[in-house]
Amino acid sequence: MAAPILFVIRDESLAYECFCALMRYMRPLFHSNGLAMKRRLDLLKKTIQAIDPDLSKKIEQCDISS
Amino acid sequence: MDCKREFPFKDIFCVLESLWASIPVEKFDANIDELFFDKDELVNEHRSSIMSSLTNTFSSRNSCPIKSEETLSEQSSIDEEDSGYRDEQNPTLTDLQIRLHKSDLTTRTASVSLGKWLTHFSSFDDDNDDDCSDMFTVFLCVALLEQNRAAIMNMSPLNTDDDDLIGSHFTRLVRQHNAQHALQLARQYHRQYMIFRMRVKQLLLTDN
Repeated sequence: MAAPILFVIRDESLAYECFCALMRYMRPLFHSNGLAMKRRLDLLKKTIQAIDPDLSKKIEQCDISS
Repeated sequence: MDCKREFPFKDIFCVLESLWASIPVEKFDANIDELFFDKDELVNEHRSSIMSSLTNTFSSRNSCPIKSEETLSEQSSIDEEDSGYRDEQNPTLTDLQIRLHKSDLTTRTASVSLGKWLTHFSSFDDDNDDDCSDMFTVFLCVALLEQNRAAIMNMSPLNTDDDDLIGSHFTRLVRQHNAQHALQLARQYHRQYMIFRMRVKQLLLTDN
């Protein structure tokens, strides 16, 4: 994640600051209880179900069989 | 959650830029201005509320304003494809608007698929406003899955010598996904979803 920032900005101190900002931006996702992550995965599941029910069924099958 | 490894190197900047800078939301807002330009007060109120939430996210995002500017300028010099891509987005935008206007007039012939999957959303549509960019990530994942839909559907769970068929399939596809197409699809979903949400809220407001 830090690599693309550094590649674009070409200045280590600035890139560090940007990386910190990015981490702050994403911090709620990686909270210790994993609630946000779980919510998001749940959302993904529902979205797949809504858009493409066949695909979601297939994915579930594969999950069960493995 | 960030699809870093999935795309080819040359496309990764485009993807990451869209994800981190919440570009789809911004683009969508411009779109909304055109769409609901001549509508009533309620929509305007509504839009301003969304705008404020947007500016909140942007201000928290742009804690170092130098960065975004530099990123953008460097980006445009490095990645000419990116701007070209945005230009070719425009026809699809107008297409969608036309379709939506049609569906406004309850002639839903052209937009059957548009309405169909969105009706499944109505059950859990009571979320807060700040998950716009969340939804974009989700839609990007869905777009990736859709790209490999045929491959996934062809997998039979019977002759499995591997534990995680889909997982290994996607591992094989590292850096081979079509980023432009996926982003476009994700934006399409996102736009439809956001317009749908606006509609629902509008309806609720007019009911009250």
